[in-house]
Amino acid sequence: MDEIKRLNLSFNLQRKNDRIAYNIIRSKRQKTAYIIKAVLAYEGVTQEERELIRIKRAFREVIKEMKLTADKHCDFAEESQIPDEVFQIFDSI
Amino acid sequence: MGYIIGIDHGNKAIKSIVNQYNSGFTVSNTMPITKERLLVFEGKYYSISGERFPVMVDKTVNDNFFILSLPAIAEVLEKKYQGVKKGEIILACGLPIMYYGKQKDKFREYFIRDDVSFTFGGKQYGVSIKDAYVYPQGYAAIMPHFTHYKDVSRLNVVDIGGYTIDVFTVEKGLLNIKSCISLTTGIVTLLNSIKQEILSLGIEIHEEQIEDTILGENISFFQNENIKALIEDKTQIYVEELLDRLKEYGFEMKINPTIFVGGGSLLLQKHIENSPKIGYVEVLDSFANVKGFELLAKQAISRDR
Repeated sequence: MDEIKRLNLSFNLQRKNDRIAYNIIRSKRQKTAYIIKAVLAYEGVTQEERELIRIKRAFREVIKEMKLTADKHCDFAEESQIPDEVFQIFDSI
Repeated sequence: MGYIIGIDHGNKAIKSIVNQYNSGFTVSNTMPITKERLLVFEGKYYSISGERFPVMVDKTVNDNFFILSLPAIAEVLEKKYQGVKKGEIILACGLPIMYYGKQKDKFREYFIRDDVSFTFGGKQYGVSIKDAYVYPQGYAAIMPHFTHYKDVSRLNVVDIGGYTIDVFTVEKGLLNIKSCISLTTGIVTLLNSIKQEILSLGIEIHEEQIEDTILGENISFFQNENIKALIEDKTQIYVEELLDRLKEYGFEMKINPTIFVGGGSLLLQKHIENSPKIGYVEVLDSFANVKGFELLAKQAISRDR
């Protein structure tokens, strides 16, 4: 029985959030399975969000340190890099 | 303008910008049990991949390479063009440089077809292939890096494909057509010679197992670890002999940079980079040709407008 643990939860029904959560859990048939799913889903999302915020912050710091700025008018056209002579070679083969 | 789709039709593998698979399929008139990578075209069922077909010098002699292009078209439409199912397509593809002059027009015409309907991965597609731009393999692969190479006085390019190895020099970014040579000792010859040698020991080995071993992946052969040594030795000899032959043909690799392209180059990367016979070396990824085809086609279309 060591593998099975119990948690007793107390809800203060005078508080709105407690009341909503209590009513939802009470309405579920398989309460433990529901709680497990809900907790894992919540933790997974928030973990990802935390990671994303951390990465964004690190990027901002690197960009700031390197004094990089965005050139919104930059038109980087790969096409312009290849000269006519290259296409003339294809025609000549 | 149609959707530009680059496809590298290798004898060993078909490559698009989003995927690659073996140049082979099994065909049946009835729905097979496995629906994974299943192509339905003109009433027949094609299970894509698995064993590759034997090498074909002229890929237009039958419909095999056209059929093999359809999954690539579907995958590019799905992943690059956000799930488009219908439309006009412009193919960007290539040929080995030695066959380029003779086969380019035929290869272009082979692909141009209207109203091509097929199902791949359970999804229905309807496309018209309006044109096919054909470029020389290997040279196309360095085009996305043109600015890096345009000032290099002499650059060797070695394209190791399944069947052929095409070698040429590029001078200040321009192909020296007179320098081109083609050897019919592509990577398939190495794989076949290894297979034969191992077969002489009474053991049958798959190409994928040989490739994984060459790549240094941690695979084990039950009670036969010396197979690994045999594969390593044969590969080492193959690379050294190739470099010797290139030297004989006048390709100076000690003082001029050498760019290796093609799936075979990636497989042999470790051996190539470790060889004392070569100075500066770069190995481009297996999608280099496809990237080049697409870039060139894009530019050609904008010039034609």
